[in-house]
Amino acid sequence: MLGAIIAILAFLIAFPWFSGDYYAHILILVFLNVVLAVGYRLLYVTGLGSFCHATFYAIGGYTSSLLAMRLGLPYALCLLAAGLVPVIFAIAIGWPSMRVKGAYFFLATFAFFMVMDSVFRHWTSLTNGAMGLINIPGIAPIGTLKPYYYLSIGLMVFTILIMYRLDRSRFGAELLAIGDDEELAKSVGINVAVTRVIAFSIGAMFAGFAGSIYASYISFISPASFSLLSTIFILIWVVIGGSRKLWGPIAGAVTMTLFAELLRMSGTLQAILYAIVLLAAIMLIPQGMVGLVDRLRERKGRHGESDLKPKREESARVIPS
Amino acid sequence: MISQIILNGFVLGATIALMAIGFTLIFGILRVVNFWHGEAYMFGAVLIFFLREQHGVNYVLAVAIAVAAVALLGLVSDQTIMRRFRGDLMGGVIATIALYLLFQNGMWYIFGGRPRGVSSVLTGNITILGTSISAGRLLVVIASFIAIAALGLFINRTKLGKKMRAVQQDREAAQIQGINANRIYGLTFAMATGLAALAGALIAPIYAVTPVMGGGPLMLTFIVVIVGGLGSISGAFLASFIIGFQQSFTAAYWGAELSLAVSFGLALLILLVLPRGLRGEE
Repeated sequence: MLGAIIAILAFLIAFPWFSGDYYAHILILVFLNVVLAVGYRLLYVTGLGSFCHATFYAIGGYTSSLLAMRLGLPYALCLLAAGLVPVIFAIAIGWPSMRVKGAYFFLATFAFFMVMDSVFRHWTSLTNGAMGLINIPGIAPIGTLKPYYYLSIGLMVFTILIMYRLDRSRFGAELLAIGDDEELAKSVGINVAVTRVIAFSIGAMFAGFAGSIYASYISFISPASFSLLSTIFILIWVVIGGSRKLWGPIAGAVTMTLFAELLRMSGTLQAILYAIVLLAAIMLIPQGMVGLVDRLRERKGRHGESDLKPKREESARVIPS
Repeated sequence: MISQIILNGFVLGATIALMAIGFTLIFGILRVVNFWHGEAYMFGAVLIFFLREQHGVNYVLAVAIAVAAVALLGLVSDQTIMRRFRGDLMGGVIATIALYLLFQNGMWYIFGGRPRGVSSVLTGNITILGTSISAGRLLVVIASFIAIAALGLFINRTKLGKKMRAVQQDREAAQIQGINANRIYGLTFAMATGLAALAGALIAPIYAVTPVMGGGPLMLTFIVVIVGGLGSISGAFLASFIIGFQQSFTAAYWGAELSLAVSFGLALLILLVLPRGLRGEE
């Protein structure tokens, strides 16, 4: 397993030297999307699905860009700030929202997304409104690709490592416990609200980092870069990939991003095709790719995790209401 | 001027109420957030355009056909697709999002982006309390109220309505009593999407018909059910007018775009103070 991962990494690191800019560009988007997806997953496994992850992406992007453009700060500081500012928002919106259940939380974060979208559009003195920010500086001159490629692959690897450690830590166990049975988790002393807010904030932080890289790579951001569709996509990657294991959102983000790019070549019907494939996917594998692999393992008779835990068909997905 | 704003708020409230009540019913009974609710509205309007402008069908008949067609679509989508997501909120969300993308883009492909007009049903203006309102818009308000009243009677006075309420309260207990929950789900979805189509059909002679016209109403619907409380019809009704008036006032003084942001901000604030909205149950 480790050997395979190292091989893949080596391939990815060498990739831009022979692939050409177009494909390397797509991979940068894939890497950033993976960061978004695994960040989103952290709160999602506790049974709460937010609808504002793209907002943290946006806040990170705008923070980083504005600090670079208006204050001329070195990029490293901008990147750091891009991770921290969304955390403030996550706590501000997350903490009071812990009172609201499942679907309400979903809608409340949706409302937050829409309000922030409006702020980006209308606070023109700060954000330049719908016209966006152009010529955003970063770690390399505008238009270069390789530095950003390595920066994003670095962020992705870093994020995955952190998530991997978190999953195996007590914190990760608590997250899964809350997702399995909130009341039971409370009864063993887990502070559900605080744990969830922490998960929400960590996810927001990584989204912010990704936003900073995105903004300086493309050198242009506007409210349209972080639309409702982007937040929908993040949700799709995590659900289609499967949230129970860490590799789920990774697989989801990779396949769906590549699929979307593939469709781009076929023109006007791409959205319809995407919708059909999405519908088929969610109907055939409602537990995501992780669920599919688990089912296949069960059939082969190998001992997957599902042997030891009760049937997860209903529980992992239902947001307690 | 003020009375014009109030009247506008009233019309908007009545229209949104049709959509929000259906949406909240779907959530209350099926536990589904129906992302394609705006498309049901759009289908209603598009069908009116198609039937009336291209085939000269009488308006009332066209409305009936449009509502029935969309209700049928809702029923079929529930029984074939949503059936797999009973109790699965996120899976259901993805499914309705997929349908939203499918319907929206499919209609864009068929219909094109150019706005079309539907000829007015009633012309002329009526004066109420010193303000002039076009007869067409008055019709929208009256028709909405009739539909909502009919729905209220259905839910509260008929046996079928009682079954719906039973399923909303406790699905398993209802099933033990012999109620076929699956049929109730299908009926609910059909009714709700039919109401949304009615809203679109009523609006078609007044505003332009485009494939993307469902977006705004969907946003307002989300806001209204947040404020009113998911699952509560009376909450949705009440909140529709609160939001309708708010929209009308802020749009008049600050413009339409900010108006939406204010609505969302309001919804967010209300939610944080009243975690279940005004009248939400769970």
